[in-house]
Amino acid sequence: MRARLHIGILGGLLLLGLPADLRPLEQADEYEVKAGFLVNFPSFVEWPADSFPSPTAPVNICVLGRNPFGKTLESLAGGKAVGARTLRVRQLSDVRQATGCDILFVSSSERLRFRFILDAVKDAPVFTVGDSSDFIAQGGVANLWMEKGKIRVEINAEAAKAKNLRISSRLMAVAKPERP
Amino acid sequence: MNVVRLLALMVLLCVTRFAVHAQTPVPPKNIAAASLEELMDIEVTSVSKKEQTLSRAGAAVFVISQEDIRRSGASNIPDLLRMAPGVQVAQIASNQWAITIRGFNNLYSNKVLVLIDGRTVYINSFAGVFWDQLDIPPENIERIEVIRGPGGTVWGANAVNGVINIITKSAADTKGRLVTASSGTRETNSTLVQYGGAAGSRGAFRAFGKYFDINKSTLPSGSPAADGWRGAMGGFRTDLGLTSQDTLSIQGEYRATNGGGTARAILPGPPPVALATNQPIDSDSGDLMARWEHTYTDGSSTSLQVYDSAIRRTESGIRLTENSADVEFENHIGVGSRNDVVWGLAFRSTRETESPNTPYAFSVLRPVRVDNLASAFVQDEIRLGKSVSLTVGSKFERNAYTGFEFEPSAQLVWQRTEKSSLWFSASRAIRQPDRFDFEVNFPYSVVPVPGFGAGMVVVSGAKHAAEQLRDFELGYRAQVAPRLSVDATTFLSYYEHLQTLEPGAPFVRLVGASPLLVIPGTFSDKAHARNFGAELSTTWKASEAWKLSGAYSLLSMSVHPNADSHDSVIATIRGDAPRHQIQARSALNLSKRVDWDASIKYVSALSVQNIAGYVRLDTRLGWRINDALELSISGQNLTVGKHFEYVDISGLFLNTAVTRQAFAKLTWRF
Repeated sequence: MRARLHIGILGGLLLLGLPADLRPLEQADEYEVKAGFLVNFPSFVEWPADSFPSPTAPVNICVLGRNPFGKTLESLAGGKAVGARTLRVRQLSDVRQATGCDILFVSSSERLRFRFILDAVKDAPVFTVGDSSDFIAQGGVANLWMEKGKIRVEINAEAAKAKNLRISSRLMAVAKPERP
Repeated sequence: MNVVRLLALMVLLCVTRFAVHAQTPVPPKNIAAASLEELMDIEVTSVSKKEQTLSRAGAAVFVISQEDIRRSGASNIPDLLRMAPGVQVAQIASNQWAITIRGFNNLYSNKVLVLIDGRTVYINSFAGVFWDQLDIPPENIERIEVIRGPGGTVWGANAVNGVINIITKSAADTKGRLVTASSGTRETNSTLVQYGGAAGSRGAFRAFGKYFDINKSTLPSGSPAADGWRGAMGGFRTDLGLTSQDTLSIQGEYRATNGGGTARAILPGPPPVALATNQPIDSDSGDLMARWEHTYTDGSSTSLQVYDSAIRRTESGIRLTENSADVEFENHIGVGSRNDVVWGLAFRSTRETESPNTPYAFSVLRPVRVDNLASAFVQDEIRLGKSVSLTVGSKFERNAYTGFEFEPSAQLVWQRTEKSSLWFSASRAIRQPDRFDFEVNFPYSVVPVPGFGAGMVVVSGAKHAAEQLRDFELGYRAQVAPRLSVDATTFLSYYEHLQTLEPGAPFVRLVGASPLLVIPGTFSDKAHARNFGAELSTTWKASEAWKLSGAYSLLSMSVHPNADSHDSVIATIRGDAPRHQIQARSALNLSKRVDWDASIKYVSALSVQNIAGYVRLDTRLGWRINDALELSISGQNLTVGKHFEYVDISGLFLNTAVTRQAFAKLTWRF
């Protein structure tokens, strides 16, 4: 079944004249996988009703600092929707531009400023995501970390609660603290 | 160095685009559709580097990454630099190297600027680098950027043939305890102890100490040289986030080394004789630096850097001290939609003392000298179109020796396609004269004189112009296939006012009752050169586990005295750097925990020095026993039992054999 699906994708790509990515799904680059998590989070996070201007308003995924995803995050978000909401990616250079962001990925380039950035969005219903070891300790909601070559997610339930974010039990079930 | 940052950002954008494009030729739809559980099951094949930057788009840049450093097995900076194309690294003795970029190699090569985190480590007195004092634990180096060709516009005088920019890791990246211990077959031992942690809630720090000793090597005659040495050092770095837009880094180091060398001493006699004597080389040096950076909301930035560095050294008959205080300010602003401007101001004050260590060896006009250097630069990157940009700028500086100097440059970059770019640059750079050029007086050599036995050549400094380079380069870099990248550069360099040694009329001086024939020589600026060359480097990721890279460097020098010069040997300095260098490196992951690396490098003969061409083979096998422990075994110079890399003709240190050796190293992080 999986093989046939792959052949299907491959055929489609060949028709489009694009080179095919022949790697199996079980392998991918670090930031492809992390981008995968970012576009999946909206399905498992419930924002307060008033955080969106309308029932069809898009979910804004913002990247603060150096963007490690290249175009991957945008291309993943482009094909994805959560209910009636589409996903939109925005690049920020300052946390003060974070108004309207529902998910905020704070790049490791900002690690010296984590405390200030996270303080600035402390009371806002923003699901903050990082991939640095002290991100949770500094007040971040979710941290992506690597364990034996696989990406794990750690969730700070208290921080999420303080921000009025409800996290689905399915996400909580797979979450794992970085240092058990 | 905001200039670097800005230009880096520009290149980074291109590079990231290449990289992303190369790695994900199609939107990874399978990932978009994957569930959380599936995502967690995906094996990460290539871990992205946290930072990947090249300094300048319109320049030939080679970056030695932390991964390259770790896998090379090299324990010192000179050995690491061997992997960069266009760089000539030659070991003279266990603690002495001749290192340059694009020729004019010498024990104290004076046309390359070396920086550590933006702090220059160039010694003002003689315009060179004491490589034995450049001892940074390899674990703490983030990357080394080797920029071939002039960098005067941004970095100022002395960045003539190239810039070596060593960037250490932020303290945030070195948290935890680190202990390394290594031991080698030539009784080379080294131990590093480091601790890094949080500095309050807004930053990080690290502190480290290191001790090493290196055994003596052998002279060409087979007898032992006196170049054994040992040293101890300690240092710290702290990086703080002051506000959401301000960061402050403070770092400092102190080191003391003592060793020796078999060096030539000239005894005036009469009759004068040149003797190989074993002399001590004792050095201690320290530095303290603070750097503040402010980033504005629109992405522009300002930085202020202050440092003080000091060195005290006794070597080949000279006792030298140098203390430099340096302040640099830089501002980067976008002007309109087409211009990116970087400008800066800098001031540096250096206090130097030199005194003879032995009564007859050496003298200077003034025992103490204080020099000030003031400079300003401005550089504008102008976007001419969608894919073409022009960067123009100049440094303006006032130095104590030649007064006002300017160093302009222009770089045109054409981003031909998303995956390839072509660039051209034209620039002028100078080497600011130093105290040795202007003020010294010392016995240089002993020459046979028919009818007189021997005469003593005594060299004196004199006022002359700064060495000048006008340089033209053409470069191309491309990702020619998803796994294959190529970088090629050609250059044509015109030098003027190169330093010569002009003989004067011999005279006889009575020493006691005996006559001593003195042949005076005076430093002047009466030579010129036209050099050209090319550097080609390529990287091929054969598979996720295997990376191959290769490089070739060609250097053709032709140095000539001016018509009014009487320097009869200046033309031979072309023979001090190899014409061809070819190298290949392989980085193979044998398993998740075992790496095997090998590099082979051919360096062609140094004809004038009678140094034969040689092939150097280095290899390393690394085993990560668990997440905390790594054991590695390295072999260096495995091809031949021993070889020679450089003869210091100008004559201070006797060359020693570079021999086969093996190291074992244990790295423990906890």
